[in-house]
Amino acid sequence: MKLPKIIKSPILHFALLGLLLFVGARWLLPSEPIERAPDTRIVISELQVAALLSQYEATTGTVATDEVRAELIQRFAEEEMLCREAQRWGLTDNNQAIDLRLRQKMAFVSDEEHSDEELERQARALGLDSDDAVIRSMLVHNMRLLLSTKGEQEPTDAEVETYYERQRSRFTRPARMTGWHVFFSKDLRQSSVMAAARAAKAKLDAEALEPEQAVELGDVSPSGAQFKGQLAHQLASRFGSEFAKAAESLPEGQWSEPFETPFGAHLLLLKERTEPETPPLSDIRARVAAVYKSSQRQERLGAAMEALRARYEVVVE
Amino acid sequence: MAFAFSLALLGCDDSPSSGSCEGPDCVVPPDACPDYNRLRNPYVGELHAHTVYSFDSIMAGVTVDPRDLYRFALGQSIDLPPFAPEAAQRSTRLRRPLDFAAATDHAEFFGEFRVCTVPGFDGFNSDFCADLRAQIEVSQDADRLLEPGEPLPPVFAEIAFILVDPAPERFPFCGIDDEDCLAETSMVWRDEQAAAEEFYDRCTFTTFAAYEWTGNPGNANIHRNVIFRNDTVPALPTSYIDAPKPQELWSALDAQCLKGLPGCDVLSIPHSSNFSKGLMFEPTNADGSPLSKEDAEFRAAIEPLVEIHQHKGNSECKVGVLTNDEDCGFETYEKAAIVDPSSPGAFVPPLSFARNALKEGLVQDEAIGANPFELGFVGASDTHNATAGATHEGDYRKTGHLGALDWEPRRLLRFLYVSGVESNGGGLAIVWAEENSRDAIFHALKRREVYATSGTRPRLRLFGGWNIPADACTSRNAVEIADQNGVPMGGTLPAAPDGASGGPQFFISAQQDPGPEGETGTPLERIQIIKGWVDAEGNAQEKVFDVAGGDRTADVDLNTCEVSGEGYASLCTVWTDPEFVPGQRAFYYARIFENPVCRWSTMLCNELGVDCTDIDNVPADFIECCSPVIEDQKVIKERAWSSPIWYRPETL
Repeated sequence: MKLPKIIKSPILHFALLGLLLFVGARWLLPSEPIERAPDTRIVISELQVAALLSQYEATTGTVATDEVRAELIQRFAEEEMLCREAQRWGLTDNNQAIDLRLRQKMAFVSDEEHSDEELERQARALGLDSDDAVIRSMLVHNMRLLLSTKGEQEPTDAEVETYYERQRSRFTRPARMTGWHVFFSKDLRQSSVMAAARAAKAKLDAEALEPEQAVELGDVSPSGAQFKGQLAHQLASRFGSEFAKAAESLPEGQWSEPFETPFGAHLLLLKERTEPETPPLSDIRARVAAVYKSSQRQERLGAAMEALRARYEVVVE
Repeated sequence: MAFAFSLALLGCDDSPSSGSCEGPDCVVPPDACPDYNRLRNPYVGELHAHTVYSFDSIMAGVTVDPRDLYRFALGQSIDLPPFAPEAAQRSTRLRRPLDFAAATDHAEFFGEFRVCTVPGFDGFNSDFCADLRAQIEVSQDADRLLEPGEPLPPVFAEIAFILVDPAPERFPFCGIDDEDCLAETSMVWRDEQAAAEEFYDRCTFTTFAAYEWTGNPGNANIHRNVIFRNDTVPALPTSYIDAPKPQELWSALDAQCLKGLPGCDVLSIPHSSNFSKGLMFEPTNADGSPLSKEDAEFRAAIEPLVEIHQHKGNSECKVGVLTNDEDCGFETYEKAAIVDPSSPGAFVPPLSFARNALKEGLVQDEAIGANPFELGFVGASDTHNATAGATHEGDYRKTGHLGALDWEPRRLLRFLYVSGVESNGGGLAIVWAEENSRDAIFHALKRREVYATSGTRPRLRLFGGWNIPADACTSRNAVEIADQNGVPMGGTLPAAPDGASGGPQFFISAQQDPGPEGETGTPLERIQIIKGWVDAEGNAQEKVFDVAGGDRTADVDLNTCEVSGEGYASLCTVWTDPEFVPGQRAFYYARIFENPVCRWSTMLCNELGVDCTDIDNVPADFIECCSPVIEDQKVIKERAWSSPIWYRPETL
């Protein structure tokens, strides 16, 4: 239980394996099924169905409806499909994790010292590779991974671009506002803030003042007189939601009428409001590619499972 | 380090107070965000929230994952368990989005819970896994939940047993050499990273790959959140089971990330030291030996922050635990460990609280020449509903933070472990960073330019220096002036310039939280500076200075929760330490208070019609409304704590 445990080999082995499965799935896993006659008929015995049902009932405390029963059978059948496909794809032949599992399982039951190869051979001879729940789970997991990443390439520029165009709204960024405000402090002026703001507005209407001069008409704003590239929620948390709303609706280049926030009264000048926009793809390519890859894997797996369901015949007898 | 960084940002003194960078010497990075501000913007975030990948979330019926957490932080709604019957269904959304967030699921049992819930592994059929699945099912159905106060099912105890074991081992169902659980752990960890990648939107919303290290040796909570700077992270998380001592966690992070993986950067944030039995800030190595200078420097570098406020209470300070500061009675639990029964007045070891750790840090610095506890402050919710940032006082009684376990009033009031009447809605972390990007926010966290709040969003700035003009607050570029003449919160004061007389000045500026839309935020009451120092005898001392505000009166009606009176929309002052002694090392941090409001429990107990003066007629379900442990907390003052600024005589 001391620190060195972290660097003990099985953990590293598995960490590495996990990493490889994800990042290197494309080249680690086979690209074509090896030739084996696939048995596409899955026979589920009533005994197995009963086991599924009793497990469900023990877990949930409720009796399975017909619908649930069908779902349990379907799930079981799909796992069996994935296991058989895994055999067909040769995942059992060159899977180091399975070899390790077989060696360790065999080493448990065998008193004698054997080479790794011998342990694996014995385990296979005993059929440990086909009925071991851990191996089955690994196969199901790896087969899902294989199906979801099968043929996966790093997305091409064109694919990322198409996805970006189709899913623009997903990557759209909200409007950003840049501007100035003349501020009248409630702390300093109490109830006369709006009167002061109205007087200043009259002056602004009469004289064309630069923003730098205009802010001198008011008090020092502790959050600054100028704001740059702010999102609406940033403005709301700095000056209050009234301020953000004004900034979102005001035309550019003209001073607003006075309005109040918890801090006092404001006159607002919007210099620039960038409309909600989708950043150029070049700015967010990595993110778009990550989202695209993730969505492609889901689609690929869904399509592959549908094909499997069509290919296999499931019989309960 | 912090000083060098702020120096690098100087050089354009002709720009307006917004901090736009237009001077000839000013260098804006070519890929700067639209709101890039060399004087830094405040970004509001949450670095401590749990999803279905946490054992205690899934056991509370929670079904949502890190992607849902990030969606919630951006403003989308989330469904809360229980999901049956229909009448129990709830959903909630944030009143204001967050700027950054990290899902920090418990790294312990990542793989175990997959083994237990995904058929196929041998372990799936173990008794533990069967019981666990049953518990998960039960926790989603309001009609089948345990009654509050009933003992928890044994699966909880079996998990707790591992987390309190000083030499923890994995469940026997994990397979030979734990391989099944570890293999699945890497799957979960990869998904945490993938979710963070998918939602990181530079300039708009920042996410971090993160997890929680959940050690409770001997029931002492010494939990830490581990936050990674970017997508370069170790293949596996380091859990309490892998590394049962904090020093072993840091060594693992050092070996696997800082030294072992180019581009990897990480920090560790301890939390809930109030339940650590004083072990959170032990100034020793794993073997109990005293810290060397190098040990202290390593520790300060990898652990620059402490989460001082969250739903399991406040860890700044506590009345009677090396302080008589009357404001140290805020959201404290009357017990020393989370599993203890409440017992007001029970002994709590001093190093359970951050202020005492800061003082111990000075003592250590005096002795060994480095401060192991150079700790800045963050707040967090620690929600187990994936509701990152859900800290609104008025919402907590409706949503809770622990799935089905605290879903209705009697459960929220009486669940005695994580929630219960002494719990609260938790806090937030507000970071001063140039822009909303991983690098900028992570860097700000490392240099401690961040402050903690008790859940609201007031603004708080602190600078310390030797030449800050007394009238800085009335200047239109106050922050510019303060930044040029001082170090921001989290930093260490530079050497006093020649001819400086008297103590350092501190510029403290605070603005009230304007409140979410449709609600007016609470005005500020006052600003304090908390100073800690080591006296001539080598003893740590502390003192609280009221430095601004505090002279307006406000009140709250305990029956209607209506507020009255006045406060401040903003407060600002330049304060000089009147008791400064050049030879005494010290720290200074600012604490600001809002005007009083009703605590969530007061709102809830009012709604329930509880009358504690007629105690015999209070229903048992709501008896906690009249619990003596919240007697003094009918009303609270929400608050914020700046990270400290340190003074070291060596710099003179």
